[in-house]
Amino acid sequence: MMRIPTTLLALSLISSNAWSQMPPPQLFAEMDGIHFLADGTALPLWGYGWVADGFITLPGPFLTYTEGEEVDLNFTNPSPESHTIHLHGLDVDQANDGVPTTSFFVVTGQSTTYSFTADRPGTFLYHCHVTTTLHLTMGMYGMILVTRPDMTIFEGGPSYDQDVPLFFSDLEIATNLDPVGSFPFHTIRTDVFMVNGKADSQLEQAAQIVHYEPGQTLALRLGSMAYSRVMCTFPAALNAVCHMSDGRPVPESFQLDSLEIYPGERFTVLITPEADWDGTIDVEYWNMADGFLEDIQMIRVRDAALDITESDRTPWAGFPNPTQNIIHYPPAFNVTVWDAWGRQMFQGDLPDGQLHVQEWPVGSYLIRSGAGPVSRFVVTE
Amino acid sequence: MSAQDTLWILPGTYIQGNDTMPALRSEGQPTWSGYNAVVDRPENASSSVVVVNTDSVAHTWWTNAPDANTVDLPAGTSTSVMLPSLPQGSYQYFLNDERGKVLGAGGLLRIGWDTETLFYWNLREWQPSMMTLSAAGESIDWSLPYVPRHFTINERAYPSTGDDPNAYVAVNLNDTCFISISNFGHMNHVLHFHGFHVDIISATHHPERVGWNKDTVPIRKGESLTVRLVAFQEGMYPVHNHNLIAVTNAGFYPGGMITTIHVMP
Repeated sequence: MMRIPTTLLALSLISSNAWSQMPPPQLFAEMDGIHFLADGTALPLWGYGWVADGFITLPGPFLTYTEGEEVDLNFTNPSPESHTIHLHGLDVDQANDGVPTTSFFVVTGQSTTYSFTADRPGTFLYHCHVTTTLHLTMGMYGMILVTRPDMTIFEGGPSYDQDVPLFFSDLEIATNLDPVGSFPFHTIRTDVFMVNGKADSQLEQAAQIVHYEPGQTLALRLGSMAYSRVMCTFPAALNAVCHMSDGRPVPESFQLDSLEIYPGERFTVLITPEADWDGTIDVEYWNMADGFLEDIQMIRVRDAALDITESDRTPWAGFPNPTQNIIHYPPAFNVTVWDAWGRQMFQGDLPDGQLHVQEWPVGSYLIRSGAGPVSRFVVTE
Repeated sequence: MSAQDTLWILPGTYIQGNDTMPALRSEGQPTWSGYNAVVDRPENASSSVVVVNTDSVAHTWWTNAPDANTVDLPAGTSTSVMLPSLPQGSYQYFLNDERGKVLGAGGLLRIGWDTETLFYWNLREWQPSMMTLSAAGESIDWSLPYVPRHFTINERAYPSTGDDPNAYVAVNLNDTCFISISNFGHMNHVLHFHGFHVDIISATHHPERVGWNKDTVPIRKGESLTVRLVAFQEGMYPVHNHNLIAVTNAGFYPGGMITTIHVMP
């Protein structure tokens, strides 16, 4: 699952002055993408991508802003049809609303800038508003997150450690295979049900698993662009509490064991999973018209330490631990260090046994020399 | 405001696009207009309304207010129906029998509102084949997939919603307005407000959501709620169902459950 480390968010704020002088990243729209289903089926995809990447994704790029940020979202459309970006839930003015009849089309070959102030923290969405039924079914949507630098979910609200975007959507295979032939639109009945664009066995891949450290609080950023009514079930071990809906605090936060999310809705749910827990958040997709259960997908949530085998837990101690600047080990070679989510932070030799971590994000790390035992250390501020 | 002392249950013909459907309405006058009437009453005061059933079959009357009683409406008769004492809010009255539900008789029951900036949205979807069956006295097989062809606000589909001063929300900058919303259909709906968040100030099915400030509001089957909108910025902003099959007319986009918040300087 995509996550935003605490310190990266803080760094982005610290560098906001420099950032504001740089051209902001540009989104583009295309209609020639490919989305692979879990069984390998390749489906035509319309969607958004970063210009710098050159390809579109499902969902589109995850957009993150800091509360109070003046945003200029540049968008260019090289695709054969007109598109827009509707900033769903951000309450922007009419000119920036992305509705072609009241705002404007972005026609083929045209570029534009959507300007707004990210004045409230929370979870938001974006999507094309041209022939909306078709363009969304084809994949033209993404999630927006507005965060606070102090890692509280809103002013005076609870703090948390990590953001975990969970974006629900669905598609109809027949429509993606033959968009022109998908008329009439009122008969669209989706048959692929996704979390962050993944479904079925794709959600079991390591990168899709929500890992946590015991004691950590994760902010689940739940949003839906599905046709279905989504019902999430939260096991008691997650200690789930809902604090926000649609980018606003709810008057009274509440514990929950299930939550239904209608198309276009968003919720922020904090979870503090019990140590050593390994289970799933089950996601049911219910047809909005006749109430039939269409599908169930499962989001795996797992204590990061469980990905270490028992034999790997043999201590290979460094000191001081926790550390702020340098952690000392015996001289070691072919050393690899990962953060708690499996991202490689260092690869190389430590001939003097010194690992310099002063620029690293606060958190827990795993270190291993060659095929030897794995050890854990913690970086503090 | 509609004091509305008498309602007439009227059979008639409803036309949407190329579809002509047999229909029922609960109207405020004895002649067919095609639109269900709104009933306004003061809060915390019981009252009554006379219901004239001109249909050829008996119906039963009900509201989604707490402790509401079913009232029989024999064919061709007039019946005085007691309305319970209710707190301020939005409710619905309807015919609680299959023919009445499928053919579309039922309207908003607004309690305790006395303001000029009050709008209402009667949400419903229509499946012509089902209505034809029901009008012929056939039972509906609810285990079959439900595929409505039309989606309306106050019996109008976009762009005709723009012709209805109760559906089209025209207000001045910094006005506070209230919208009574009720789902009379056979499926759940969800409305997304562009440009604004609204405060939920009454809700029949989920009162725990009173006080929530949202831009995307589910209105479940049979649910009524009231929202408050503060028009803090000028412009024209769509409000639409975010179940995207419901923004079509017989499959054509755009249509269906779309209306506009128009904030004038």
